[in-house]
Amino acid sequence: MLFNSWTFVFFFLFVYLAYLRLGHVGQNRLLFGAGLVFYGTWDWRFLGLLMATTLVDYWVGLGMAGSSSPKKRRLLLAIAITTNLGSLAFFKYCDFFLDSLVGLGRLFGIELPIVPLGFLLPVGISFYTFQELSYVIDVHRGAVAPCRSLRDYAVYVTFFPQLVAGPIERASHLLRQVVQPRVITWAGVRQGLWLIVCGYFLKVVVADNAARLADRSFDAPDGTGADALLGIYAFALQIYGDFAGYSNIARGTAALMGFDLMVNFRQPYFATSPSDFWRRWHISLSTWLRDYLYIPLGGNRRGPTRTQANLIVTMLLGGLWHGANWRFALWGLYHGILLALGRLVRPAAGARPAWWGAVLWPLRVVLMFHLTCYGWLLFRCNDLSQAVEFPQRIAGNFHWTDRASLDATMLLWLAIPVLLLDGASELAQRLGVAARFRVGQTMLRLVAGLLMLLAIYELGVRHGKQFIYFQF
Amino acid sequence: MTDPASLSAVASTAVLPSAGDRAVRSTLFWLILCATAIAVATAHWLQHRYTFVSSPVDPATGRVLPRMMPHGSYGAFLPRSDAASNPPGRQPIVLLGNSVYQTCGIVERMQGLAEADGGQLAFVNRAQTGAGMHDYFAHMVKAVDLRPRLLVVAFIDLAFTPDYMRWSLPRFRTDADQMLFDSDVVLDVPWSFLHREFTLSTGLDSLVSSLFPYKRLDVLMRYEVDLGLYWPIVNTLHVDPVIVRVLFPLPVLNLTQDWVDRRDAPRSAQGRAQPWPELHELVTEFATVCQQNDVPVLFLHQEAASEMEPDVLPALRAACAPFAKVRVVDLRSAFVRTQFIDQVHPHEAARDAYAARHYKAILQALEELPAGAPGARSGK
Repeated sequence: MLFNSWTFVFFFLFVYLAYLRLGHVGQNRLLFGAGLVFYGTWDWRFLGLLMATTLVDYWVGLGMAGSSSPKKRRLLLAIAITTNLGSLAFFKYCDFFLDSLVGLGRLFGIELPIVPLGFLLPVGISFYTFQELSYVIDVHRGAVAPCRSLRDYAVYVTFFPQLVAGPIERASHLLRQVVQPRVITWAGVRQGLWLIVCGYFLKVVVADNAARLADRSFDAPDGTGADALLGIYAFALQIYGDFAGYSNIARGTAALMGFDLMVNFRQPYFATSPSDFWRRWHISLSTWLRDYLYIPLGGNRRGPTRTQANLIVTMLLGGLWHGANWRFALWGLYHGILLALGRLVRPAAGARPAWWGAVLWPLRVVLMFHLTCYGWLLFRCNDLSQAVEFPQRIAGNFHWTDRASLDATMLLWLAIPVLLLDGASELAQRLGVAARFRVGQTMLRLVAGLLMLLAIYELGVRHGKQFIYFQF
Repeated sequence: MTDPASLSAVASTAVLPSAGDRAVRSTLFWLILCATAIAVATAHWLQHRYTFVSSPVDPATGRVLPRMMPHGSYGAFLPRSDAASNPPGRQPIVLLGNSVYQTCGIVERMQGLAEADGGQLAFVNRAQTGAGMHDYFAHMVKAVDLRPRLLVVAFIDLAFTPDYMRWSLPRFRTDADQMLFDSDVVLDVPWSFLHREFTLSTGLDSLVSSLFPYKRLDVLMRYEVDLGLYWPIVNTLHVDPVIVRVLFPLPVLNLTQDWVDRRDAPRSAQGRAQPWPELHELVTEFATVCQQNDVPVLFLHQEAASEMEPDVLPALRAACAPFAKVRVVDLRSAFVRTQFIDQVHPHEAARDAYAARHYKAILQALEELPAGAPGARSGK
């Protein structure tokens, strides 16, 4: 059930109307049922898998609470991790590793008699697996208490706004809200509607239109350098609009129901360094990787070399989390190397005057954007040879054609509203003016919201693509 | 990390929602219900107000004027439903067709020929621009209620192929969607058709179209805006339309699809199109419903350029063979490129001859196909 479909609009309308009439327990029962229906419309066969991991993690949580033996708690944690990562590995990575094994064999002239299993990938498995893992690890660490109600825990796992593509929530944040009665306020409703309008705008206007340009560029074998560059820019816009759009709709629908989901994107293309980028892009994943992978690996506590290695390993695994493909691994590795290099060239605090930073800021933003874009080329390329060929085309065969000029104009018109939205947020945050101009902000939002609705109506792609991150 | 407070304990100590929260929820509930009801009512009122002029008529001559709109927009044209749909004492001939029948005045010309022949036939025009096989199906189910002497399906090959998808014509166009959900239609549509063709998504999409016909309104209202604003700007300021589209995209239909996709749609790819995999089942279901209602059918392949292949006629003829009251006629050989605006639409000067050919084919089919028992309507 895509957010950008009438099926979802109808579904949410019915669920929301019922939600408004129910008490807390009734709301949670409704949310659990809605989560199952929402997930079941993708493929009802995987509901069993979702429920199985939910039950195991719930039982493990209770088991750890009832035991004071560290050994037993470790054993329970191992069971939960094995179950969650095992199902993820089986459904997502099994064929990938088998294919890689066959490829490796061929390199040495050995034809291995291995046939890929061809399992379907359960939608959202990477997201809900990480969310469940965070729960059992936090319970094991004593950071959160186990949830005693199976219904509440199941709502935490199957909460439909963020079930299939995040944000990856933590028990300390979302489960607490599930357990507590929610309060719906007009401010929350306004915020929710704003996020939903922004989300749909980013998805059906920006991402789906940019996707047409990106697809055409990446699928054209004879394009010029200008086509290649525009294709990469278009994909940068597409993936941001797609994923941030989804996150906004998820946060908005949750806000209408009185929930507060974590912010997943914070103007990522205004980042000035690799570490700044990951503080702004897919925040729920980057913080998950930090808390459950990077820090347990040693973080930055074991010297500079080990820190760099930890960064690279964490990002490599983060890349593989996105998909069972070497180009995702390469993308992760690339970002890991960027983060490691970023630490090396980080200037010491107070080394330069403040005005120097202001002068350098736009240059650093542009540089970081282009470094990110090369990462997107690795992420999107049809095969890895494109990652080499595109830069060659840009350097050696760059000229504007009529089509490239038209595409550039269109891309510009798609990018301008994103720049305005993110630029305004960035500026407001930097100058701290958001709180001081609340009335003006409301009026601006009203006007911007109406314009975005008009754009969704006029320019939105009907029967658009499914969200990119659903495949992860 | 948060403090390890028990989440269950949090629940027991949490402040229960206040009366204020209940008031917000109650207000929201009624607000959403009222807004939905108002939206549905307004949409239907607007539809009622706008949709009777699916094709403008020249008041001086009484002729239907063509409205050439690009394909790819939902419900670009509504099927014309003639007021005198079943005049007493005449034999109704229901015509299901595409833009040629709907906008080129062919049906009106055929009616003129019928009047000259003694006025025994009344042509009922149910043509819809860009109609595909699934649209014909919905219109047919609606049309059998008129107990026509003959049901004519004027088509081009593309109408029976998924290639229409490439032209951004969705498989279920708005009007067919909505008609399928009319109570008199949905009861007559074979279960196998609904089961095969509808998914949860397309079904709900159609249901929304029925409740809130925004798709139909969308195109009609855009078209009004287009006429009112877009062309005056282009014509008076002599600005390149492409630039106006960028600066002022509101009145342009499906801007981005026009811009990005259609420009590059390779015409040669039409040759690779194949008929719907379920063509046989579709035609069988179509003919069966007609047979149950004792309505003879004429599938009339319109004049069309050769590049409008693939040739679906062999498959169509095979599917129609078991039905005694179904005929298939091919008029493609009458296509002369200089007489046509494009691959299917005749020039004004060629329309009389076009109508005469179709009229003749219909008369021949009437001779060959015996009429059903008057008033017979069975097989509900």
